Amino acid sequence: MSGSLVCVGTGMTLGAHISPIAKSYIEQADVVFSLMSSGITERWVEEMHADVRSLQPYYQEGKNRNVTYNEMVEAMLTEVRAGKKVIAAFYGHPGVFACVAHRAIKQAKNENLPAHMEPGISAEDCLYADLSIDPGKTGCINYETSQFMFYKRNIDPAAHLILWQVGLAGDKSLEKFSTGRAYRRILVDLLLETYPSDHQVILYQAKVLPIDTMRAEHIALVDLVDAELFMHTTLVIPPSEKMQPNQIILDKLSAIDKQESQSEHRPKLRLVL
Amino acid sequence: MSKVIQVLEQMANDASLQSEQAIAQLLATADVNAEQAEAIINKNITSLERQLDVCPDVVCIILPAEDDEEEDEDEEKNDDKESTEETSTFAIGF
Repeated sequence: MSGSLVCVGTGMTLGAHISPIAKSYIEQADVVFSLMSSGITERWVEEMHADVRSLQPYYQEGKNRNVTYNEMVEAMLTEVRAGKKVIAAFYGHPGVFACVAHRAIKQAKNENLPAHMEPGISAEDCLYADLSIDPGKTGCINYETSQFMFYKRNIDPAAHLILWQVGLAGDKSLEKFSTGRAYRRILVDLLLETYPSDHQVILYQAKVLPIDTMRAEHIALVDLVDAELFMHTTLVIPPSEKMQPNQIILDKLSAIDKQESQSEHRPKLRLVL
Repeated sequence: MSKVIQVLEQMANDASLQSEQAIAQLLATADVNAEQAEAIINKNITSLERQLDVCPDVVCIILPAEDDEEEDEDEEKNDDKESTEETSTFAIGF
């Protein structure tokens, strides 16, 4: 019998966000792999099934995380190849700012093994709710912080800019669990090319347990260098400028509107024989 | 499921348990010991982790800044390109 892989999200907050289908997949699995963001949520998942295997032991400071992620994928795929119904439970959403589920599903499909993903409530979802941000209002762009630093990106100061994994800013080695002041100084200098130094930014952390307190700490951009950052801290930079009208496009659209309006009001011609 | 985890789950998914008073009432009747109840009321996660004997050091980084898979794909594409170029060269030779 062919094995299968389903990657599910358990949401951010223990017990509050897990979907009925994700819970059902976990309960009906042969093997469950879990990657949670706290020891207590890991215990919660362990208590849903008799065979839950944590993926935490694959992490090691000083070990390239791409190696770690590939080892996690291989652990899951080994069980799928053995004909097991495998569920991989990830905190938040299994496919948002998370590469392991994507890699595992891709590998399973390459081997003609059934695999799919079930979404979960992500940190990004919680962020919009907790900080009262509507990403549709002025737009919003998300980057992994180090990637944002390594490549030339266009910043739109009229939109929200959200930088994930800011506590690891500038880690080129993929071997660290945090980076220090010197790395953050480079990030701040990069941001100061667009934003004023006193621009208020937000350090955000979603609730993981119902007894957790959500973090929404407002600081001046320049103070980011000395701020207390964790692996799960996200930097939210609100717009510093108003949206600028694109007059060229507006004029072109106006011309079309005018043309259409004229054709609507034109007397209807009738063919008279 | 252990009682403490059950209580946390109930607190998280029951709309009537979103106040301190309701949580205190729940803990008064729940089968958790005094130390566990105190940790929940005081939102003392460190104490709860210690009592549940769970590992407090958990890594929650699931995204590399640069995905090695993409590099592999780029290399594959380059390899394909090179092999196509080679084929083309041979074709021109014919």
